[in-house]
Amino acid sequence: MSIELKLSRPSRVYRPGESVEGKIITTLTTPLSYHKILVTVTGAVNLQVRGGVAGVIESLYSAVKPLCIIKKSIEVASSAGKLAPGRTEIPFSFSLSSQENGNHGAFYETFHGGNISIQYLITADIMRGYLHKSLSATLEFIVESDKASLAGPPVSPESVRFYITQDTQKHQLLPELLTGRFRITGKILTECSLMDPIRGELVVEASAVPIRSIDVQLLRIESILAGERIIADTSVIQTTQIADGDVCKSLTLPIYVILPRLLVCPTVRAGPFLIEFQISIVISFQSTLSRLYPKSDLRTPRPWVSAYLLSQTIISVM
Amino acid sequence: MEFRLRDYEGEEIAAALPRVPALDHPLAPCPFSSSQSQGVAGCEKVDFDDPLRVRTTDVAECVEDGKHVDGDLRRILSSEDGHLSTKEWALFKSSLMQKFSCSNMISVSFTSDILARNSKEYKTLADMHMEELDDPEMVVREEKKVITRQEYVSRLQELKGEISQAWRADDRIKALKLSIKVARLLLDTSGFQFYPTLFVLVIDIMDMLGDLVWERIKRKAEYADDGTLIYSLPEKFQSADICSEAKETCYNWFCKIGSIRELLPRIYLELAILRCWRFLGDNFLLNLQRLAMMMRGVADPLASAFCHLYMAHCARTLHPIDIGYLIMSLSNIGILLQRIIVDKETFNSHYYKNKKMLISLMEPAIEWIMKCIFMDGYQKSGNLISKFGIGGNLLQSTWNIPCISVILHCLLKQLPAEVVSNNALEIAELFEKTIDISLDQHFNYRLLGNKLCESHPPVPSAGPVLDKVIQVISQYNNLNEYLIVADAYLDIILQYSMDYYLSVIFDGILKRAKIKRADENELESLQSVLVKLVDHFDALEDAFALNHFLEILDLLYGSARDITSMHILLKATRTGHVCDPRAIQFLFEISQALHDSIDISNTNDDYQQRAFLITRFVHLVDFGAEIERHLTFLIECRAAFHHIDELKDTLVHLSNNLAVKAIKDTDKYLSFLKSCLAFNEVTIPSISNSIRCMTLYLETAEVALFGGLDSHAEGLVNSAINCLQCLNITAGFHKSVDVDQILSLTCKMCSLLVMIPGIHEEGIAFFARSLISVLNYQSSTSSRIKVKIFCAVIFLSASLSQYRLPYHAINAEVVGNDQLFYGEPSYHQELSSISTLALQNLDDAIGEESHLVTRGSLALEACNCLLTCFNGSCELFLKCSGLIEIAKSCLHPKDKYLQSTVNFFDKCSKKKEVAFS
Repeated sequence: MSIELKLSRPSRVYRPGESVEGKIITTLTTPLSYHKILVTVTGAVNLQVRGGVAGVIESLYSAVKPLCIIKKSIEVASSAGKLAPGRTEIPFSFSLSSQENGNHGAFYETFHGGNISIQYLITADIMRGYLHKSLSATLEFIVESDKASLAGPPVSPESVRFYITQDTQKHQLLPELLTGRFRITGKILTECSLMDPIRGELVVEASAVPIRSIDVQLLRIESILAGERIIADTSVIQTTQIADGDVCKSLTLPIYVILPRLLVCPTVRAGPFLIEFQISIVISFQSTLSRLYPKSDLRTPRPWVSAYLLSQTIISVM
Repeated sequence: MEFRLRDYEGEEIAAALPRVPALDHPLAPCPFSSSQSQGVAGCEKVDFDDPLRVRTTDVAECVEDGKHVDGDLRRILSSEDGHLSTKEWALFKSSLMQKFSCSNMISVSFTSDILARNSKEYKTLADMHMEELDDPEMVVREEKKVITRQEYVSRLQELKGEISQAWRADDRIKALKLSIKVARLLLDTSGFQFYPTLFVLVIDIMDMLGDLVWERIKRKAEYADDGTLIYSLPEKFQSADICSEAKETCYNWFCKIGSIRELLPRIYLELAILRCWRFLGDNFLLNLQRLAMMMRGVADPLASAFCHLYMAHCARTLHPIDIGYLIMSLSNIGILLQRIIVDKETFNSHYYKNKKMLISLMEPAIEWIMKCIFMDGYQKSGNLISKFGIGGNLLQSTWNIPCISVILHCLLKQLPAEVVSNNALEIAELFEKTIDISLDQHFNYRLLGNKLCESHPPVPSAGPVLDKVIQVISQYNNLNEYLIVADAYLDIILQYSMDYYLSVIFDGILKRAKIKRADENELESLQSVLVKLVDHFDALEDAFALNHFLEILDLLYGSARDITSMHILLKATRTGHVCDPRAIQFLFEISQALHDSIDISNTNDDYQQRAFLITRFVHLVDFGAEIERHLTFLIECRAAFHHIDELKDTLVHLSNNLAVKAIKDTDKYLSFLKSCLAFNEVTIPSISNSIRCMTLYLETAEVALFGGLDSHAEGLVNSAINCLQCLNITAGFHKSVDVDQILSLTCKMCSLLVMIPGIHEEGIAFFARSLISVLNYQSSTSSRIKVKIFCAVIFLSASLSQYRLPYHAINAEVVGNDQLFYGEPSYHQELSSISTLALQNLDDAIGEESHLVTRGSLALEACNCLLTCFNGSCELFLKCSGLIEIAKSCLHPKDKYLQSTVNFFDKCSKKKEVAFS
């Protein structure tokens, strides 16, 4: 006796405004009578503040009330009936139109983050009256915003230039760095589409201390309005090395970072929560110290991980 | 039985075939018919196609590709020029592995523990999220493990197996993870002699993964979920042909690979699946350029060079039109090289103690990339060489590629010879400007020289280049470098007979050779120079006439000297004869040196060649009328070349020649003849092969007879019989060739005996008797030999019994036996007794033969012999019919020989009957 949900698209990706089609598949050994069959669609933003990030008090009521995006039920079979044994398929469909969820917010894209998750679920219930437990199945489907419907050009090639020099850094290696020059310049896109890589370039103009590695870190900042304050949590979601070893000076190195799927969504700046992304460029030097602590989070400032620069570039992912 | 009286002249006339003069020479070419046949042959050649060759390539590919790649993929891969390059690539890979063989032990300071046989770690990884593709266990260990090369290789083979196994088990994530780990091995360049081998092993795995991914996506594009074919992709499909689901999968692969943290593994894996860009878009050139740019981030020169190499290999599967990415690769490598060159202090000094070694490791990569450039792009972008600063204005050059001699070298290697020779002077100037440690300039000059030789430039353009080169090498202090360059240009110099340059080069060589003795490399070059000189001139005298030729020859020693000597001898012996006493002396000396250096280490071929050349030289020496001097020379040769057995034959032949010449030309030859004979008598016994000895003895005996020295001849025949004895004793049975030779020699000896006066103290039949006794002494001798020789003895005695011998010695001083013993009864008695003895032995010998057919034919032979030699008598017919009976019992009744013998017998017996009646 099993019940299963299947959607028309194997990728389970739907866009706002589209209609979601699917079917409930039941495989039964004995006939089954039902009261009614219900398909429920829920979309919600779950917010949660992890302990340690916020203060003790906040962590007490760590689960902030989830925000509802959509919640509706469709009666596939409103009157009582009977399901024959064997395989039965019951089709259903509903549309993701923004008119229908009226008072609720826009359709945010599906996102699974550390503190924030945006999730859309379909639940099918076969009600069998009060005496019997109802049968149910749940399936997640993915909402992606429709790129074509965006007004204007998809991505404005807006980029920033950055400079990392001995003056921009407060660092233990600074005296050593000052013996020669230290200057790294480059530029990077500040806006890009989810499907496109983040592009940019970087030039090591001078460095008195030999470089061990240059990495580009993609950071995710999730901010939640909890009570009266905003709790922000930053996490590294991807590190990409762009230089290994002491690279040649004055040579343009490309920055090319493919955005990891599922871990990135378009930047959301809703009232109660924010999802933003940052890029930081980490330069580590060849230093005897680095060998002692080979495994470490690049974000924690260490003497050898120099010039830990957070290029305060917010990537507006669209 | 009585000997038959013979009328030799009458019999000859009766038996001779009628002769008619011929109009045409039978071997003269017939012009009409031959031209026709040539035309036919020409037509056939046009569409000649070797079916074997086609098949072998297919088979070779099947073996190479292994089981993972099915036919479809191979077809795509092998389309167009890809076909050739896959083969070349395989060759290149194997050469990479061989060229840089390293010590057996490799110290490994791995950042990954992939080589440790610890498989439990992998199990938990399968369900991990993509984000954690980076090995979280990555630990930099300072400790170094040492494993053997064999272990390393076999571990990688195992990993390859594991990857394909995981793939087949639908555990693609595991396959990818393992591949990343494998690619990560390339980060470690510390065992740098081993790096090329490692590279080959790793890219083998990368290629496999690339093929697997390609196949999977292709399958997605062609088949529905349930396995039905929905769309068959053409070979040159467009990205528009691909369904979105396949594109999705493909993009997902690029995402997965894009999330690898480390640069080098990320690049390698993207290169492995580079071909898959074809599913996503039709413009993949940008990706190639981006990848080439990304490789700039790899600071390690060795890792970078090989990474570029892998890109050049992978990109060929896309058949890109533009070669900009390759140029970029070269320029990146060039920048790294420049850094190595310029850097004077400790650039990674603990790794690369030797910069040159590092550069030599990078060279194959540069060479291959250059090859790719010229394979694809040379025709399309004619101004390619101007990118390297050749052919354009040097002053305002905007070079894309830093000019480094090793890169120049690779470029020059690939450039067509005509292009090089058109720009030769400019290239030479470029060499002067790019002197660095990456490659010694003399290699470049050598290459230029070789290319020039290939293209045969006109004299006016070759002149200035030569001027330049000579000027440059005059600065060299090192003999080896000087020789290497000079050697390359020698062909041109000789071709245009620029004697001035030749003498300059010779002076240069001598000047530098004075400082120290030439070492092995220098010897090789010197040898090449001298061999070229020797080969160039028509006559050896021209080479000797050059200044310093002999002095330079004296610089050589050891095997180089031997090889040069052999060339000189070859050259010298190509002419008809060697007359010049100076040349003879010189050649004799080098031959002697050549001979003295023969030892166990020489291969058989080498020895054969030397022996042949020396023999040929001795053979060709000609002193004209000075025969005594010639004989002295032969004596010298015998002493000097005692190792060469074959030469002794020649010496004996030559001395016989001399003797004959003396007999013919001079009046008082006797003493000289005697000395020739003495020479031979001394020389022949030292030859190990008895058959050859026997031949030579008989030959000498003939000469002696010709000169009228019958006692000498007798002695020599006696020695020949002794040889026969030795021969039989030393070997029980012989090859059929040897048997035939022995037989013919013995028959020849018998025929000689007809002429030799029988004034031996033991009577006329002494030799015949000793011959019979030799044979009887040898019970194991085959009956065939025995029968034939006994027949010969019978023939001999029959001839000797004639009142007039069939032939006589030419020399009047030798008296024939017929005159000597005319009418002497004891003489005839002796002869008939010897023939009786032979007859008895003959019967025994025929009876001994076990093989039926042989026995039959031997009986027939004996029968014929008897019928010819003896007068018809009852005894004879009895004997002959007995022999024929034996033959009839052994042979087929229709055997031709049997029939003709029976006819002959009948004829003889009828004659007899007629006579009786």
